[in-house]
Amino acid sequence: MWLNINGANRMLICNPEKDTLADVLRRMGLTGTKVGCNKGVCGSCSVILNGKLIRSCTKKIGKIDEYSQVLTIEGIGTPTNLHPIQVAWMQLGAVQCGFCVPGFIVSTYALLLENKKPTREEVRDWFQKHRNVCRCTGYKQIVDAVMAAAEVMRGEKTIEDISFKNPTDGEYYGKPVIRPTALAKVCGLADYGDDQELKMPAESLKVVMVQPKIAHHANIIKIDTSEAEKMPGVVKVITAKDIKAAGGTNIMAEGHFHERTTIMVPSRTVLCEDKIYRYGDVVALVCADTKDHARAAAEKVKVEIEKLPEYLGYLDAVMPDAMRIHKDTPNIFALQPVLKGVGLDEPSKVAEVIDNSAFSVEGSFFATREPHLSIEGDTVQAYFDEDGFLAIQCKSQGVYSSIGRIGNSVGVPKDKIRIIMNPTGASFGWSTNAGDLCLAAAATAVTKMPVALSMTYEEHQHFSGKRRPCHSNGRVACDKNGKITATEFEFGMDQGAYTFGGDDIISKQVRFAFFPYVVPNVAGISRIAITNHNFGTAYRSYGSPQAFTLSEALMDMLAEKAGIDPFEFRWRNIARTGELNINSHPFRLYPMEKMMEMMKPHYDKAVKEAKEKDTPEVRRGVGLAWGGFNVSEGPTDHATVRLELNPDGTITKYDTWQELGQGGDIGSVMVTLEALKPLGITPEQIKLVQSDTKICPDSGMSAGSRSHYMNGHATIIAAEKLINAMKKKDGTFRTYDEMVKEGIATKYEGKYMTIVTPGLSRLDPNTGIGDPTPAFTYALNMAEVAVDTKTGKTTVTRFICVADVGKVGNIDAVNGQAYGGISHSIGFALSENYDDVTKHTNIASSGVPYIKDIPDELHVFYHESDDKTGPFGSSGASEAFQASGHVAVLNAIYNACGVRVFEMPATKEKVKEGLDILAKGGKINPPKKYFLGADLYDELEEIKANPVPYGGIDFFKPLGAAGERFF
Amino acid sequence: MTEQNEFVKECLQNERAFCTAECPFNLDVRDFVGKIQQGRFNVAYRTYQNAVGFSGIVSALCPEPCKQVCPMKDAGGSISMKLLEIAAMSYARNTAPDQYNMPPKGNRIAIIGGGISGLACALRLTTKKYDVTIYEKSYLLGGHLFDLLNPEIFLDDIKQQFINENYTLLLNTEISSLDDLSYDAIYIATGKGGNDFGLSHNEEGAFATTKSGVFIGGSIAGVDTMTAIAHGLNVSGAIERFLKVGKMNHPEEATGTKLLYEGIRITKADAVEPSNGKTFTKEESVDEANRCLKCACDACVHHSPLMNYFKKFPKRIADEVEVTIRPSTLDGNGTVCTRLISTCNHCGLCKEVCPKDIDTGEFLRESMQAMHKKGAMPWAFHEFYMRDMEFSNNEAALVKLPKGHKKSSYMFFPGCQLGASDPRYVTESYKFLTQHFPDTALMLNCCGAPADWAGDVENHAKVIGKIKDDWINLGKPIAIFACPMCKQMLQRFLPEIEGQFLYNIIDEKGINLKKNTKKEIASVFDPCASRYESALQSSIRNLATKAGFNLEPLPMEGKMAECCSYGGHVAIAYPPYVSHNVQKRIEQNNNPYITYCSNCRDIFTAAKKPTWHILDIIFDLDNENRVLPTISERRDRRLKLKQQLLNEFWKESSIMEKPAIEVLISQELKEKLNSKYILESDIYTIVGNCEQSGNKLFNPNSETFTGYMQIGKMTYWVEYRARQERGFELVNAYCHRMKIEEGE
Repeated sequence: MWLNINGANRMLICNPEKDTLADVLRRMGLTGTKVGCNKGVCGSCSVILNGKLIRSCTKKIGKIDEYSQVLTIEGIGTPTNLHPIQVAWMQLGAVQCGFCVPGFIVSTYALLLENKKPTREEVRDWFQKHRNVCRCTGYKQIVDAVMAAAEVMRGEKTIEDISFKNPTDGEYYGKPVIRPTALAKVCGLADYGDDQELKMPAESLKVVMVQPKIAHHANIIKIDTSEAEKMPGVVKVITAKDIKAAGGTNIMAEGHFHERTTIMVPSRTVLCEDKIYRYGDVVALVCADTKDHARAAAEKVKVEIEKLPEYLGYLDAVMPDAMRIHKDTPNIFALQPVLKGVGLDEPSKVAEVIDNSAFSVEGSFFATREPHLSIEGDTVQAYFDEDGFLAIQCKSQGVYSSIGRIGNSVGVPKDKIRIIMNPTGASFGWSTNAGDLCLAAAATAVTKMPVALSMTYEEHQHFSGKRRPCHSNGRVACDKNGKITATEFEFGMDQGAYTFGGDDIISKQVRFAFFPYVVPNVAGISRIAITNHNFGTAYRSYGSPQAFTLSEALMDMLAEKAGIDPFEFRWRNIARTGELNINSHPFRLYPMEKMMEMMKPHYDKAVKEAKEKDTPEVRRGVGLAWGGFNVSEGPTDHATVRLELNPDGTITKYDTWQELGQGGDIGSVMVTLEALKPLGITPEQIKLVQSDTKICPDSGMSAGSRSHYMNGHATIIAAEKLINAMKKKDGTFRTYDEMVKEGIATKYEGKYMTIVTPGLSRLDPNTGIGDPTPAFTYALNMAEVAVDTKTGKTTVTRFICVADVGKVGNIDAVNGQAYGGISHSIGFALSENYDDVTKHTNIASSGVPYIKDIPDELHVFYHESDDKTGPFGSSGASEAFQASGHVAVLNAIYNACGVRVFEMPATKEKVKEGLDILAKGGKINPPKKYFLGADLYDELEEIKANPVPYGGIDFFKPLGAAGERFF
Repeated sequence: MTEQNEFVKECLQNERAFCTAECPFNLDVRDFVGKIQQGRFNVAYRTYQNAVGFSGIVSALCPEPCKQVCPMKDAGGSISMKLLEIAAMSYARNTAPDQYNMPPKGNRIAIIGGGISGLACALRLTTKKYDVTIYEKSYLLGGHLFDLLNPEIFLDDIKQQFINENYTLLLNTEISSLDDLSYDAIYIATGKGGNDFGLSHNEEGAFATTKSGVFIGGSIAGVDTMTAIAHGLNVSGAIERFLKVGKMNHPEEATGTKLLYEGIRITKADAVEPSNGKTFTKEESVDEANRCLKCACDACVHHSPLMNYFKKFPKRIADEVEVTIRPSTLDGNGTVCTRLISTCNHCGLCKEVCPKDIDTGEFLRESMQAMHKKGAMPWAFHEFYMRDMEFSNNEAALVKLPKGHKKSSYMFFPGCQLGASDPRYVTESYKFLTQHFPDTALMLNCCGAPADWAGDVENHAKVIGKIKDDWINLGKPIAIFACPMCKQMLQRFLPEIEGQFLYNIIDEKGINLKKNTKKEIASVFDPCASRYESALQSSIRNLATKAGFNLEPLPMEGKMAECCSYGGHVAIAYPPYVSHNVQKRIEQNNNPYITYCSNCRDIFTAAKKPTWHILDIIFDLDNENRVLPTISERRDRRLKLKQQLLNEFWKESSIMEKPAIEVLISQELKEKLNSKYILESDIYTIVGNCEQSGNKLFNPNSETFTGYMQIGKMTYWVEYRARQERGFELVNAYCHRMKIEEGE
């Protein structure tokens, strides 16, 4: 058929029954049109068809007339001839991972065709109506970009006016320098995983998973692949047997690193052989010539199972008579106590202090299994490269750590595995896991062929890990002046089917509960249990939101009980210089007072406005929540980068600051610019070579709010070496040619290790005393909400955050993390969930916030402490922004209408139920205390009676009993 | 579990104690008693209550079948579990039932019969928030308990345990047919002789009947009261499985135990009698609990020096090795138990004491090889001995037919350390042998143990290959060993070589032994490699007795021989472990030891334990107050030995080379070098190298030079100064387990 695409008539071959417009465009090479959900709910495939904005992934080609006009991103502008919308997107921080960007730009183009001068609200209405979802930005920058582009298009401003200009004084740090990857992204030229797949050599095999989705827990009796093997185009059906025959163990190398962990050997296989432990488990892989063939054959793999009883939540899995899910370990497989003050002498004395205090409150809470909901799903390519390396192109937040986790599972030695990051449509934590990499790697290891594995969104949703749900009980008390006297708490985290990481995350609740307050007496514990639900993995703010769900709610409850305003109550309890956190160590910095002073006028204004606008139909409220997170992975964290002087005087930076939309590219540029300031380098003179393990040194994971801090430090070290080598006696610098002539090396590596910070220590597994990280980030959140009393629906009307991430490195990049984190927090509080596997299969049904769910009034104010331990005064960005924002929303709902939601999410049904009870003059009964494995004080007694050796900074030491550590 | 780790499958570590196996509730007595031992009654109570459901009723009625199987039965009396249970209940801080806040499950379950079995089932199901209805034909709950117990006791207990839970109770309601009941599952607990509704037990699963969804158990099944309660508790699992998966196939409760009485070490202790005649005080409870052996198979952890030191069972070791060989950490390559793997003495005691013959030592040997293969074994642990083996097999080696012979019937294989310890051991022995068997060849070299212990399969194969070639060239003689370890090694890898012991021959042929006139008392310390050499062990005892010693046995000898701690060359990997074990070995008694391995001898002598090598006695070598050779001297002695042998037996003379450079090393430094495993010859080489290459730094303050050099994989640093006359003087030296990377 013929279509007029981007102005030219083009002939194309298609299957009118099966193909969608998106399929056809992408096959033609117009891969700027992205397919995310493939269900018409994310908008990244938006194109303009005959003047009308449509979502091309659901538009069947058979329904389109010949010679219809199609406008795609490629028709809007090109790198050498950018459209103002594209420029605005780049310049106003609207590009993060960029996966939704082509769809948004096309959508904006359609809007501006209709309405040349839209208001911000009209812009928001448009994106809401056309289902354009952005998971990274929090939408505000997108609206900014649309408004700016419209101004340029109306001739009110020039491109120059909205563009960042290089400063003349060489002072780049903190400024909104444009991301190097932005240009390709706004032009639809960034080739994400699925685009890579389309462009692979013809002989590449397509891999489809056999993910039975028939049980959460079952014995596998038989996997019959015989029929599938006979299907057309099938090259190989791979089961665990084949992986073992290829020399792999089929067991992922996922270690456990807590003194109290009851399991050592990894529990997760690449392909299930004997048992299915969770709904999304994969038992086989079908490799075929085409994806359709592979999919058809995958349907024919017969999996015979015997169902086993399953536990889908923590509470069931920890009943005293619960059966073991993994036979080698009790379901609760690790725990971490924290004791302070009188708790250190005798834990139960903390209860006495609480009982004897003027005011005390107690509560039990539940935080949801939050799904990451990146718009791009999971897609991996694998092949043997020219040097015999098993190369895996993928999304990975730790290219080197992925090699570690693949381990020996597929039979290719670790030094022959190469991980390369594709341009990547965000992750927020799920791609710290390497299960998907193992699948593609296994397919290549077995078939020796290049392969592409691209999951459907639903497959990805069931396959990838989620934030760990958490039940908690707590009490906190204060004296008559509103000073906290003591707290006791216990957390029970649902790790899901596979144990890896569970014994790491338990340290977060016992560090961040009641951060950043002073609590003199503490008795607490965090436990983690195996269940048959999806496994827990990293997610921005890792483990701290569960802590704040408890502590920031209790803070509000106690303030109310003591008759003190919640702001004032927090003010009285924040830590001041020298005061100790619950782990009995100083907070690294004390910006709390200053930050609260910055928030005060906003708070007063919000309270006043809420009072004024409050009506019986729409109740208004204000909620606060303190939050924060650590920086780095702890005492053994390290990062290496390399800088190379090129013949043309430019610099190439090699590192693995994995760019997932958070700014791994621009972050790396910013620290390099600053470190090489003496050379007078401009952003254009820095070339990045990133995240390919064959050519880049290991800079560690993009996780733990560590990248800026660690990479920054390593860059300083490498830059010093390079500058020293270039420096002549007269203070000028050698050129490349001069360096070569004098035989001076032009390439320098910098390695930084957190251990240089004195006093770091892991948490003591017996007391929780410790100081694992060299820096913190701090965030004070305030949400303003409107609750519709008819429906119970909550709308966040404004959200203000005062944050301290040290010196800001790039304001657009940090704002991107801030607004994005806040938008996830709002979604977490109100709608997001992955619990019902039959329902929560795509981003919309899992509660992703659309633009109207996020307020346009998002404001972040930075209190820029000069963090002396950090590079250029910075600490780390990102995770502070999603740590506690959800509790600000929940507290605001209570403030608005008196309904406290203890068990998230605060859906409109749940709020409505509460409103109805209150309307009838009733009282909302908070949940009773949960049983989390044993009575808190019994458990603390048990720990005290059975201390384990503590390794200080090093987990490995007590295992070997003394002396050195060996690598 | 990977295939490699399957060796632990037979391990009895987690087998239930005998009492637990008898207990209808499977109460984990080890756990329970452990808590009482620490005086922690509250948590002990929780353990007990969680196991039995109705602690009040069970502690009143239990006939204590556990007492019948308690190994203490004949060693002071079985443990009074009942009194301990009552103590746990009395002294617990809080006996209120735990609260379980979880969402209602929705399923409806009928229990027919309000006796204790039905109630037990109801208790488990209601705590999980199932909707339970109990039908009781009489007007009250309790069933046959009324015949056994004061109703106050059991009604109280029932009320207490259900305090947080709700169920529907229909009294005076007799069910005559199941057809009228519409429930998701039914438990028939109608008691002894009760209505079974015409259903019989179905083999498909525990408590299953022939009717789907209907389960039966308790006294109707002809069991005693305790078992009836246990049925009630356990049937809840069967019901839950049915509700979740639709099948009646709940596995039968595992019974019995594979634990062996032979594995239990019993210490006699009289039963504690309650001072008030009825119940224990807290102190009495702890005393009684302390009598409990907490029966478990732990022979390996008790005996094996490695497992005892680390307090780790084979399963744990297997797991740690697994994650060490296939590691992953947040930062790359953590090696969880590299040290543990390297600390095995390879003495074989773990297998000897294991009732299941589990060979953890062999597993660690293979692990060592796996680690070596992937380059993860810290070479620093074994570098010294690998070099030492090289030395023994080259500079210090001597393989020769006896003068005038074209082939030999025997070859003397003294091993590398015998001559290093004292060259006379070798010369005297060879003299003796050639007197009796003139065609005895000499094979002076190393058996390859260092390579085997380092997991270095490749180098080990080379050594073995060379020995085999030499042996063929010598005419395939019978080997005569002085060192049990050499024999063990060669027999293992070259079984075609027939081997005998020097000491058996001496014992047989006879030698004029100088009598010990003092009739000194001594003990024979059997080297671990002699474990299965009983003939050798008796020859040694014969010889010692003939020499006039009065022998007293050691607690661990013969088959139970323990390693002196030299085995595996673990001293570099883990010095504190070695000193700990040496101390234990020498403290077995106060007698001087007689041993027949030069390493045992030297290690004990170094620890100031008077020890003879049997050859000291046989050849009357005056070694009583000898000073141990340093590692450098051990090399010198081997070179001297070779020279001496050539001189004495082949009349060939050779001259030892002197080092080209002269470096004065003080006695103090010599000791330091010895303790750091640095050879004096290496010091000469390094100083020479620094001087020649000029790679040295001058420190004007101390007027010393500092330089370094890598030898093998080790980097050595030396600090030295020029002497006025000539040559140099060492000021300090140390070594690093690293390479110095120069430049970028």
